Amino acid sequence: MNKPEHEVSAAALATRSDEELLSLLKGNDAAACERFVRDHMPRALAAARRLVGNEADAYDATQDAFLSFFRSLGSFRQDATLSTWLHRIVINAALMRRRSKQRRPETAIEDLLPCYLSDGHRANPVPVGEASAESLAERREVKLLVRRKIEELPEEYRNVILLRDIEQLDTAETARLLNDTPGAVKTRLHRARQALRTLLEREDTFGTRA
Amino acid sequence: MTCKELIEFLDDYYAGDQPAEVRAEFEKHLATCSECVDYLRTYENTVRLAQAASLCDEPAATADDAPEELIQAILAARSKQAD
Repeated sequence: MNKPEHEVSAAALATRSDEELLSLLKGNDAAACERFVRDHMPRALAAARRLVGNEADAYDATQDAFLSFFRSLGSFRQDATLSTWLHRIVINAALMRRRSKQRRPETAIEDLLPCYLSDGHRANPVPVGEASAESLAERREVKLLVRRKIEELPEEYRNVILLRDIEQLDTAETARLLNDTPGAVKTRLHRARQALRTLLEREDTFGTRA
Repeated sequence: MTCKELIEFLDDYYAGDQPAEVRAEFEKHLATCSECVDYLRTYENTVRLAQAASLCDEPAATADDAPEELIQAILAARSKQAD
């Protein structure tokens, strides 16, 4: 069976530039759309899985993201590659899916930050053990605990840890996705890390020095 | 420098983003404050644990990790969208 003239072969698609590919996608070229989905699915699904934590929601977030990508092709400003733009949409879709789910109660951030005495010393410091992050991270129960504790953070602090520490985006990209300034992201990340540290300390994650 | 001042700017110290003279003040405080040394170590451990705590146990994406049913669902929905 002959392919319709407007459909491009997979081999030809592989050599197309972003600009050419964008033109094909906007023109609803079926082969180009399928190729694009197949090529980008592994990375998109992996990102969704890292952020939402269960397979069903990851599938839904990934589907939402691809459909949103195709719907918004007309407004793509080419300020990033198509791949980067899709990745941003996947992250937004994953964060929205998380927001729509029932969450466990969050602890107010102020309750999780260090308290200080009038002389600037920490109030009630706890001596901690010498265990390294590497040895701790090897223990599955510690990894699960860290995930649970990240979920206890207030949403705006949880999101910045998800994007900066888990998704490993830089400050500028995180700020763009969260519609915030790099300075605010930096401050919020530091507070989020301090809060997570407190939550882990309360579970004796770091051990106690004898 | 007080413990409060050190902890409030600890992220810059951890990231290596400080001018040399500021870093020297941090190092001077850490040389004499075991509580802040503990705090820095547990802060560093927290960051590394968070970085290792991807919310799933799936291995890194491979070229084969493209579930056919998901691909077909997306293509079918896209077709309807395009009509």
